[in-house]
Amino acid sequence: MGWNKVAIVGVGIIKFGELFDKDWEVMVEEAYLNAINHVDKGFNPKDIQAAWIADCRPGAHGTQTIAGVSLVGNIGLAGIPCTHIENGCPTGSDGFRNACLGVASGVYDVALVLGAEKMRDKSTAEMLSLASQGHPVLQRGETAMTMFAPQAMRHMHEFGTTKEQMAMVAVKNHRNGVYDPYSHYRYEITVEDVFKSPMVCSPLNLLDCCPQTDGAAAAIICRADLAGKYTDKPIYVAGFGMGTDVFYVHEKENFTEFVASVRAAKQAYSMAGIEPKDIDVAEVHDCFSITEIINYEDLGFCKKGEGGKFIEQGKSDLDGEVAVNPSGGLMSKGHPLGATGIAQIAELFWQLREDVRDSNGGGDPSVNEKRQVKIKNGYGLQHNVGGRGISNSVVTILTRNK
Amino acid sequence: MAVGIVGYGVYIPKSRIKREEIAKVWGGRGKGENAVLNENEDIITMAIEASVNAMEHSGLADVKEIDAIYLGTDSPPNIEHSSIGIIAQTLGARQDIEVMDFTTSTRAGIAALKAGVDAVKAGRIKYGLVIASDYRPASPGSNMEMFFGGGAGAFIVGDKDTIADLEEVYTYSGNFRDNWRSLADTYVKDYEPRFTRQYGYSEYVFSSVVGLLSKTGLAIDQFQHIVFQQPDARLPMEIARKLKVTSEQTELGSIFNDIGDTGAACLFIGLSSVFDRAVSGNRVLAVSYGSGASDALYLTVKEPIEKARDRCKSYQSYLANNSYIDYPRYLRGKGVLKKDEEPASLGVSPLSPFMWRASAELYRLIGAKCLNCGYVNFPPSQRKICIRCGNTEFKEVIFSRRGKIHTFCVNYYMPPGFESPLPIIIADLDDGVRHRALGTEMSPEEVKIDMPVELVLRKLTSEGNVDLYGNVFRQIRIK
Repeated sequence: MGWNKVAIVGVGIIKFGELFDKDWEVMVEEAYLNAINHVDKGFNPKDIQAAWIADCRPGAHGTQTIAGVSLVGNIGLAGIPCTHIENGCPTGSDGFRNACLGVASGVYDVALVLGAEKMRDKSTAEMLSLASQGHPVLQRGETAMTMFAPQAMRHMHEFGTTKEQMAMVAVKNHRNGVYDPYSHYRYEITVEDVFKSPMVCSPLNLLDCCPQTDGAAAAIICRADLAGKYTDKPIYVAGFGMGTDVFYVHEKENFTEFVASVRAAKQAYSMAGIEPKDIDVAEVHDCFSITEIINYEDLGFCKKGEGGKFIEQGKSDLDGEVAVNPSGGLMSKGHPLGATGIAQIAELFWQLREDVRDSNGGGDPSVNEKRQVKIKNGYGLQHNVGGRGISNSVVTILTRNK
Repeated sequence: MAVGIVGYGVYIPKSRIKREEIAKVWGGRGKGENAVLNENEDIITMAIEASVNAMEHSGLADVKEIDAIYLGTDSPPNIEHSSIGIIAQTLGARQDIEVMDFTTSTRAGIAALKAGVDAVKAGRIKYGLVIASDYRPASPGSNMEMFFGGGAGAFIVGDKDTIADLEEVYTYSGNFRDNWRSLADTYVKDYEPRFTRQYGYSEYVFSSVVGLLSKTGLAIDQFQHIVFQQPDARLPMEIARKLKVTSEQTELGSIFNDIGDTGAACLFIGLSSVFDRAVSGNRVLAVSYGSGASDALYLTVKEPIEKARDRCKSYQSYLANNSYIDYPRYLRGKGVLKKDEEPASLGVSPLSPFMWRASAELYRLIGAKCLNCGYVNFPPSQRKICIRCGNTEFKEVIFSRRGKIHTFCVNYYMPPGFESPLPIIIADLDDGVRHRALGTEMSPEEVKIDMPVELVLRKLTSEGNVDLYGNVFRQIRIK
């Protein structure tokens, strides 16, 4: 059986988007309220003994939320311990991982983990400038797409992966996003649309990329043996892993996989005691279409080099071998860095409980239920990869199986 | 003691503008073309390329044999602060060498050459690297804009195996001003050309040549090759007529119609073009000019020139490898046409100790090769533990500058202050070292996996008017 020492008893996310009318603090407050107000048997905030705040680019908005106080000080919980986590694109999921370690240690019974990111309080040019900061020479001009696009080039070169296959990822995730009330974008696109969208960073067109999105997401976790106080349908943390890789792009040995993901997945599967084929549903890091194709391989859903065929054959569709990104993924739902991982966990919480229809009361249930995945084995997988040099990854495996 | 040139090299920037493109905008007549610089080039980057070529041509085993670097330029990027430091560091020169900057005149290159030869004669140095590199600023719409071009030449001077000896020099100078640029001026100025042509260039060049002929007892027709300073197309022709110089004598050294007035670099490039074809025993006359002074130099070509031909990247090969740009693109290269935007901040200033700690290895491309597993760690200033095996003992290695593209992308939406679209390249160098750098001088359509590339130093950006340099990839320009 899995690790199962920690249970998720409540989640909350806000509608992702360009939230020009919302402060970072308001996003945090709304996600937090959404979580505590949707715990099945009710929840008293006084039960929270420690908190973790995940925010990757605190400098991107006015109040510079760089310390733990930025969470607890804004939601009336000043007094309890709170730690700020920054870890690239897996910031949210690594915040969750650290919170799990805190609870599993026995020091805290109940903890809050909340991820939030303001991506639109600075102009696109300012965000690009911020993203490109690093070693002034060796990382000159290094933004996310200049790290992922060369992977696409090499994957195409070595395995014959096509731009059509990459576009199919975007098509699938946009289709799923239509059924997600929290998604930034809610419209379908075609392979043609992807091809016709502007070239952003060859070989990636605009619709091969996730948008710039504001958002927040929260999860309440507790010791597994205490979950019954809050819900009869807890979701357990079956396992997790975090993998790292080298710092500079020139130090990377392989441009067709994300070594950090492979390492994180290996730890997580081993901890959960399961294999890739046991996963019913996965929320994976599709910052770019190529990323999801490489993820299929790195997470063991298919063999190395066969990621392109995997999407082409519909194996990652909602009714496929493993439903990947039913929420619409980063590409449709958006990628507010610190919130992303926790929002993925929220989606898996609903999917594994088979109550996507309700989605904390958000959206039209008859629409929402169209993205409900049929749960067979009871396992869901969450994955992020990113950071400088695409050098860190977090994989979390959740289960409804006690 | 015969002292002269033991190796030479040129560098002509890839971009060319046809003078008719300039005439389209401002009127006038435009024949010929100018070699012009991109935003990321300056006299430093050109000087380094010419110096590398000169080192290769000289056959000197190691840059450490160089005892002096003298630089002549009329367009240094800084009024105070020498350009030689970064040149020397990129080339890997010793630090106990003589360094001297020659400037404020289009004669600056020749002044540097004379000083270099004198230092060898005085026994103070064995080999000296003398560089002339120039790209003078010309105001849009001015006469000078029609004429000014950029380029560089470099000579290794010494007294062994010379390919050409400097036999005699004659200088004629006075108080005269035709072109100038004060500290308050952005661009080079000129005064009434009908007056200055007659009493400036014509008088001074004529006087220095006559003086040299008298001093040496030679007649003008005893020189097989003659290179005049070339501020435009007409002045050298007029002086040639006056001195009874034939077009055969000036043919090889005439570069104005190909690349423009390259100022302090003109004679270095003209002489290099002559050396590409001259044979042992040829006499060469080179005549500089700069606002009220002219040097006439008498050189003789020596036999070693034949042996070194295959090590030479010729002037003609640089001419043939070019790319024509239009007037707006040319203005961008000069920094005249630019977006009103704040470039992305670097995080640390180019003056930061962070940059100082790493500058030698970043420019020269020095790696730390692990003595246990052989992996080359980079940059060594940050890698005291081998990232592959954990070993802590290293050997210093200099990267090969050529390799093949492993993978890449072309980014069409760069942050402010960057060129877009911009290739970003990860290449495996010939020595097996993997390196990542921006691309330059290549169109997005050209970039391919496995394409051969080479690393050259370029200006990456400026912050607070301080330039930041780094190596970038370009397609191999001259094989």
